[in-house]
Amino acid sequence: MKPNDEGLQRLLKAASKVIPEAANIPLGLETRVLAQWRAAGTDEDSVSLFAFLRRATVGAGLVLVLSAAWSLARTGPGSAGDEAALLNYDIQTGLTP
Amino acid sequence: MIAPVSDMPEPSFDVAACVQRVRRRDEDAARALFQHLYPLVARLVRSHLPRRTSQEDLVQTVFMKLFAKLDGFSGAVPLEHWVSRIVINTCLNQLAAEKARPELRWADLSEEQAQALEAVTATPEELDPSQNLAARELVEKLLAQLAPADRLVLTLLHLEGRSVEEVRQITGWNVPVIKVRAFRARRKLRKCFEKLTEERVGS
Repeated sequence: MKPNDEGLQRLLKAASKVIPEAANIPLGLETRVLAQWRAAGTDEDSVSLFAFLRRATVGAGLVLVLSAAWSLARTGPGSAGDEAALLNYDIQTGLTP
Repeated sequence: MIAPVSDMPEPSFDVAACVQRVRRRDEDAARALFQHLYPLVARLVRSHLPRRTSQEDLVQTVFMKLFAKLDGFSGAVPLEHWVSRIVINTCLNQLAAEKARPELRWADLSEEQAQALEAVTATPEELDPSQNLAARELVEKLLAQLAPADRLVLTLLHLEGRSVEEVRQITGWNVPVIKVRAFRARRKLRKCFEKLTEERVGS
């Protein structure tokens, strides 16, 4: 082993004997962390409310489309629409001399 | 309020119950978890502290990540291991962001650090315990010249005395990667050390 290797090993060994201290909690740190945690929770609540509203909008749209389709199916060709057209035709021919 | 903390976790602290309460947005539980984990987080941040970041800022960042990811904590590993990984990854990312690694010169050393360096190169004996702190500071300055991953692996193996298996658990790297990285990192550190000692001889 080279002298420099040994020197570096001794230096690392001495350095490893120093354990970094966990000092007291700095003033205000706990408050700041908890405030951010609360704020993040509020954000999450907003996000979940937004997600709920979005799902509700999509659901309402779907109901609207289905009911419109059902309504169109009921008033499809050969039903009330044709009758109205015939009546219109009769009225128009009756009125014309 | 400055709360005194010890480095040892409280034996009576029920981690699982506390985590559950934090998930239910219980502020008292969040405070208790913060106080329980602060000594561990502060010690790890202090060990892997990037140069241009204050310890307090980094601790705050770590806790925000920790609380944000708490839902993903399954309990399969001890909470302390999970937290260690978050701390180390945060420090590693911060170090990677600080790309510039200034060269260490003899003139940058304090008197105590210079004496510690002279002592390890001049005699084959162990350093006097009173020089340990200067040695630690000197090693941190030498490590600051290395790439973040190199610095991390040497800190974990040589300063914190962790085993390769522990390093694997903390970093997620596999064993051959750790060994190769440690070997190369030691070689780079030795070069930095030699450069500094040569400068001392020349001065």
